[in-house]
Amino acid sequence: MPELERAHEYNFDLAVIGGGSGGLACAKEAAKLGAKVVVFDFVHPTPQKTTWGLGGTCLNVGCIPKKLMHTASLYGELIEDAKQYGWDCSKVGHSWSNMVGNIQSHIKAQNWKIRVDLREKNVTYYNEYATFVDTHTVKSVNKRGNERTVTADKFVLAMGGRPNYPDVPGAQDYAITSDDIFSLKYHPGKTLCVGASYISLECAGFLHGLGIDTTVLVRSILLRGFDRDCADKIGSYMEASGIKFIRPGTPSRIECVKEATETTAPELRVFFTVDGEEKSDTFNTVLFAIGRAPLTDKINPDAIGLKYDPNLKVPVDEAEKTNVDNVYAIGDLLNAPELTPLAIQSGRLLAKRLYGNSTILTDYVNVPTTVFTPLEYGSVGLSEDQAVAKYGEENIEVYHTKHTPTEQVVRESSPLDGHNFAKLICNKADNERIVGLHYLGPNAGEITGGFSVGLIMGATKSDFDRLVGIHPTSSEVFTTLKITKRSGLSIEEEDC
Amino acid sequence: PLMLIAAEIGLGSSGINAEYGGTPDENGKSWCPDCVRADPVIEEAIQNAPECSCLITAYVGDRVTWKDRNNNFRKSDLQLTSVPTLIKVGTEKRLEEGQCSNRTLVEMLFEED
Repeated sequence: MPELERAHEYNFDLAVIGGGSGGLACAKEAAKLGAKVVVFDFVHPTPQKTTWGLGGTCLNVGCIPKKLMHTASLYGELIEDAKQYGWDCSKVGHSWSNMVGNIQSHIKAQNWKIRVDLREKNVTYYNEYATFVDTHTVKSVNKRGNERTVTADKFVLAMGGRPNYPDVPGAQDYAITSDDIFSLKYHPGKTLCVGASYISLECAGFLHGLGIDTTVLVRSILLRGFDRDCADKIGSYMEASGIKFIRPGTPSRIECVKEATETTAPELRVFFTVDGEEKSDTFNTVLFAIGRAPLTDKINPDAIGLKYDPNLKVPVDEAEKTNVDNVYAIGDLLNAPELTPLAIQSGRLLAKRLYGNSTILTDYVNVPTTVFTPLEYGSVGLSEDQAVAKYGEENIEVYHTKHTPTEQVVRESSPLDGHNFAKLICNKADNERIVGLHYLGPNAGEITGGFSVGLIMGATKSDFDRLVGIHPTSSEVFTTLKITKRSGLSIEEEDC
Repeated sequence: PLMLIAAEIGLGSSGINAEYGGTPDENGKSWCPDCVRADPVIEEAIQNAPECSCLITAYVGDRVTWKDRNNNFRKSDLQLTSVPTLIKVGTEKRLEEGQCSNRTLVEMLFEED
């Protein structure tokens, strides 16, 4: 690839700070277009001393290990259901260390492949912590304390964020976060997940599915910002499955009864406040998932006068440019959905605009997502509350129904039944255009991903009605929605 | 076991590297063209590798033996799928085929962590 004509004297055309989903995608695309690129990536160990390699949150301590552990727990469910299909599944056990070992092997293989990939694409990579000196200069430090100075024409900030710890005595000493759970060297034992975020619920979900005694401590509502009907059903499903909820409650302190060893979890006494009363219980593991903070303040932003919000998010224009002319920001740093594919898309398109001749901007609207709780939840577009706020209640029509996946009919009835659900939110003032699609049930990611094309192309309710479903599947539920919320009619299921 | 053997004879505290290639014929020439290309690159890179690195070379057989799906190297924990393969033993780091004749990649594999 011929190098770009360089109109500057800096070491690099582009310096990317953060080697995660967004940063790597941007760096590789820029290099492909002839830019001279450097990536800085460095992971400060967690309070429990956990660390990881190149690749960012998604690969190391996010989407990937999460989906794998969620899958592990689903297999446990399937093995139970298999009995109804004639399988003899006598005494089946689960090994935490085998699972973690295999998952970490995969992650480490990917860490290495990424390093090889960057070398092959001529992207310089420094496993060093970069901070700004001025708008064209960063200083970086490696784990041995050696420093270097690097200059670049343009910068892309892609450091993402890290989990928050609360200001609770004992939290940093004894508790873990999602940064630690996926490589935990010992079986977590009886676990308390603190928080109502999707991270807390996903972790609680797979831990329980692996046979672990799991409790969730929540301050108020579950999954703030998501569709309320769906969030409620997820909570009720998890409770019905045996996950304990302490709601509303907040942790007040954590004490160590017995220290962790190389191979065993600690014994912790957790104090929490419920209805003004202090209660306590013992757990082996406490996992805080109460929110994440961007790493904006860690790169010495004041040295370049970078503007950022009190919550450390970085405001950018529609082309991801910050208030500093040669500095851009992508991924979890932004006030946008914190999702890998979005970071990758924006990283690539940004590189194409900077070093190719593209003018295409990233579309941040109608980005589909899936929450991998035991009852999976896929959604694209607006929640019902958001739709009402945007279009007015009189203009919103909600079609909804429960459904039962055919695979689940040959199985003993259980309190888990009746939670699978589908909802289409339409704008009556615009031909019943679909402004939100929500699905609770198996394979939520696969189903939502497919239907999202319809949404971004402006599908209406009648387009969904025109579509003939595939039978027997869960996805077909979106082609036969009849009952509106407004009608007040029951959505309890009839037979096919 | 490879790491135990190497430790016994005092090798490889900076890393044990294993190179898997096609078995050379009686003239010392390997049937595998990528192995032939990789050999000089690996030879030079291991000279410049951190002190106390070691390189163990293993041959997977002649062309017919390698192509057999029951080849021991294919079936073992190593899960070899191609030759040459260069592995830093005890880690997930490996290079395959054309990558093994890429000097910067081979040097990167030999580097200490």
